[in-house]
Amino acid sequence: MTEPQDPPVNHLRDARLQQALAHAPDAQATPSTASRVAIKKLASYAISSRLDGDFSLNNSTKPWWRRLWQNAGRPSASWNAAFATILLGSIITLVWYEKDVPDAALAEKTETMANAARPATPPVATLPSPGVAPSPEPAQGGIKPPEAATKATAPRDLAKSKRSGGTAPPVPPAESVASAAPEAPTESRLVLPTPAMAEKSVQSSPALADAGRASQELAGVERKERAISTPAATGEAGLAQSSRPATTRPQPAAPAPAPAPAIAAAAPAPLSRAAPGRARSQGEVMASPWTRIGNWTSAELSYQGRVVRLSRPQAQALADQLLAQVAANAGTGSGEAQGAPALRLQLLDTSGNLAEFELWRGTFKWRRRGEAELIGTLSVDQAAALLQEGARLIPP
Amino acid sequence: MPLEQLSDDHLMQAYNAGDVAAFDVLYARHEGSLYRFIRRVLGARLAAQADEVFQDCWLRVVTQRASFAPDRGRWKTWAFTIAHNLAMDRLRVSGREVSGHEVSLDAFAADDSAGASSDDLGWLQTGSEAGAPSTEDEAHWRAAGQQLLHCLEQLPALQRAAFLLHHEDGSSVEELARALGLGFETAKSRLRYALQKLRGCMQAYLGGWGAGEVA
Repeated sequence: MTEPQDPPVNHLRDARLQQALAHAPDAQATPSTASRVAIKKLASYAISSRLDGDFSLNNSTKPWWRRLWQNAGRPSASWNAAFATILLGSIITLVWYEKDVPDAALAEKTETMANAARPATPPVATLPSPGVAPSPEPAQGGIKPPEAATKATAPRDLAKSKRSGGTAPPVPPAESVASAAPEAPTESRLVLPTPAMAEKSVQSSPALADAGRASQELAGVERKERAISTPAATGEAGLAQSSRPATTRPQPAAPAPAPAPAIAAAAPAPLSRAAPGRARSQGEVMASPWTRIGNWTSAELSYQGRVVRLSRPQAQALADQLLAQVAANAGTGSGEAQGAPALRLQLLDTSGNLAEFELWRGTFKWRRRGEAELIGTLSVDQAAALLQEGARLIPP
Repeated sequence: MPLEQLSDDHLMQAYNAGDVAAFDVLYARHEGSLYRFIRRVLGARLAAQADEVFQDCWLRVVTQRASFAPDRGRWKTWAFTIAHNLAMDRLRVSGREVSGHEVSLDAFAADDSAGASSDDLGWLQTGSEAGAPSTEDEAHWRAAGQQLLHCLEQLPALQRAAFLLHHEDGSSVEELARALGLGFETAKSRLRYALQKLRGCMQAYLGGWGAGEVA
């Protein structure tokens, strides 16, 4: 057994304690290998990049995309603003996709109404044109453009009326209103010509090439005669001249002229139903379809045996509503209605009875002065809606 | 001249000039002592954070390499002062009471190499050259070392740091004073208090050097 050496001791440095310190359990402790590697990497990186004080141990091990992201977040990155602008523009585009620009809505609406007015040509049977051979094709061809326009604009008008109808009263015949616009362009029900038919008619009738010129020549004559022979057409001052060829055909029995006003009224009808007051107040811009029938001034309503005389403003809502039903359902009935109608509305002008609408249980008849009678059927809800509106106008 | 023969100060200057290999030599030379110092200052409770503080210490050595000036102090004292400050910060954050204030690295204003030789540590070198220690001695000092770590845990952090700087780093009292930001007499008295407490705590191991006492 050896005697341990006694280390020298001074008053501040004790070699014995230092010896004990050197033999402590942690005397051989070393940092982890990861720390060693990181420190050496750091030292090498600091020399190679000459970056002082602006990096950490982990900075060199960060992936490139993370460093790029950090650099991109600096305020000096001006392309951030450009990116934000593009993003904002994309969002606005998505939000307003397929929606109308507010400022352009009025003009577009007017255009829609003008397009819808074109097929509402007055009965042409009263304007025989000796220069044009009688043929059913021209009458159909004249309706073609408005048909497409009505198809395109009717759902949009319905959507508009829904959007702007936040304060509008609830529509009792919801089903009929909802179905009126989409069904309006249904050619089969209204026996409207198809575009193919129109093209065929133009190709097969060379005389139609002169129809436009003839119609212009006849326009002046029409204006004079319209007040006398076709009072229903007196309100059509805004009709386009291009639609005249269709009106010059002597087609008293042709089905096209009769449904024409109904089609014209189909698209605007939901709008006027959704916000009737608004539709009336914008009479100059959004002319009621009834103005194209004629300047009816009053109406006579018969409901459950009671007859009441109404002014035009009073009967306007009911007239718009039933006209929408006529447009949507004309030609679907068999004409077997019998007995006294449950509701009858006669539209009167200075000359007398301009048009007449009669409603039985599910069948209606529509007669317009100088035109053939239209018969159709209504669903229970549609008929109920009309009856409800009629009952509202009958004083208790 | 090979890098291994260069002093710490010259290695640091070489690294600052762009020689990464000089840093590797410097690191290898002081890795263990710096790590042990940090670990012992932190104590057993914060020993798990020793690695992190150790990394921070070398990070500062790297990032502040330009501020190192050999004429203001030894590199070893400079590095140990950094390690001391970081360890004290960690103790402060952990809630362990630390009195005193942080030491500025600028405290090294003068070359103190002369003071380092004032303490007599030569006996260790002499003893190790005399022959390999016996197994009994080895066991004795291992047990003493274990006890010393336990006793260090009982010391206030600043006294513990003072003792470790003086005994681990080999700093003179003047260096110690500058490292701790204290006056010479204050540092001396703090070191004296630390030694007094440690000797009392280690009495069973330091009182007699006989093998029988150890056993």
